Amino acid sequence: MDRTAFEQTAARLRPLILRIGRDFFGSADDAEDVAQETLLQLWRYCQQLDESRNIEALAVRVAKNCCVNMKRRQHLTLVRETDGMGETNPSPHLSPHEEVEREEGLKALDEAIGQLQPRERQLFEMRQQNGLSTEEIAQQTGIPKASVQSMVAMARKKVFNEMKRRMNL
Amino acid sequence: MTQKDVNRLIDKYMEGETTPQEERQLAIEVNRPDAPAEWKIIAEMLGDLTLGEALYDQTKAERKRVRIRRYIGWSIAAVAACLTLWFVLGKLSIPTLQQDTAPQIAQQPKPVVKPEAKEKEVSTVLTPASPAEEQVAYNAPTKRIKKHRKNARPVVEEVVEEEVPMLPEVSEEELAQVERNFQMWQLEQAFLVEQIELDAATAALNKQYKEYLAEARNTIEI
Repeated sequence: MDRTAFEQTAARLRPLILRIGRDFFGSADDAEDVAQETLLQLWRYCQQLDESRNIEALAVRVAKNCCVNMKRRQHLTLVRETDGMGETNPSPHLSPHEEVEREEGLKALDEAIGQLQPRERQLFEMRQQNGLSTEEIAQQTGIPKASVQSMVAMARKKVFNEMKRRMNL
Repeated sequence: MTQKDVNRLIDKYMEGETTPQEERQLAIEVNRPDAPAEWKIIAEMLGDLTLGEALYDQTKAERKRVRIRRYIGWSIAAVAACLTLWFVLGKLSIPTLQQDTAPQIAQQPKPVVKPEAKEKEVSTVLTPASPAEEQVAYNAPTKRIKKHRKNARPVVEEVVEEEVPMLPEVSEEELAQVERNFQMWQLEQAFLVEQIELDAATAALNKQYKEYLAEARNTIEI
């Protein structure tokens, strides 16, 4: 997706994202922050994605994530201010050891997904990233629902076994 | 959710049978700090977006629960306040009604109930209340006063409608006779009291007289 196409999409998505932010925070200012952050993250995603993806579903999920992350940050900032500490670590809820584990897990996941067949990968990501149901995927791809289900199951088992192998479990 | 439930949900997830809602629920369970290592893989597969969405829904659901609880609490408080107010107002109004109603009942002319009438036949002729009738009308039907307080209907109607056993009519002669008997009884009582006092005084005098006699004898003997 190029910059012009994204700007058009962003203008269409903005009211939806603002509503999600207002529902969660009950404040127009916080909702504006949610919209900014969501659109920024979507731009990063969209540089890797093609236009055929359901960007609206993805935007809803990213906006909800932004709400939760902002809330968490606000809470942590409040706790730090109460404790008399400055904000030094951008992700203070994770210890360094957990950060390393998390990085390894994400790397293993990317590699495991990379080994999937293109169709399996597409369906896996539609479930994982867009949060679409089997029926919605069947509608969007034109693949029968039973086939979608079996292909998603196959993809998940492959990813699980590969990750298990890579993480020595 | 127990570990068994989570494992069942993981199996369902691996078979591609879970709904997005179930996957959000699973994301919360497998991201717990004490989750087994295999669950961490499922957590990675579900991704941060699923977890974030699950936390968003959870937070909103919790806020909704809090709002509902607050609403229920305020509703209960409002009902309790209304009941208390109603009770207090009711308590305050009862003495006022009693004060207002009692003299009215006593002052109103009462219907004459004929004692010889076998069925409930009440004369509609209103006569001025005599002391005896007033006593009958005022003392006998306590229930009628309460009923009157609630419905605020005329006393005469209540007398006609309710089956209250009426005392037989007392004539003035009979009343005078009772009064005379009572006066006689009072006189007898007063007489008895005087008799007792007189006996006591006589006994005291006798005692004094005997003591005087005994003293006189002693003096003579000396």
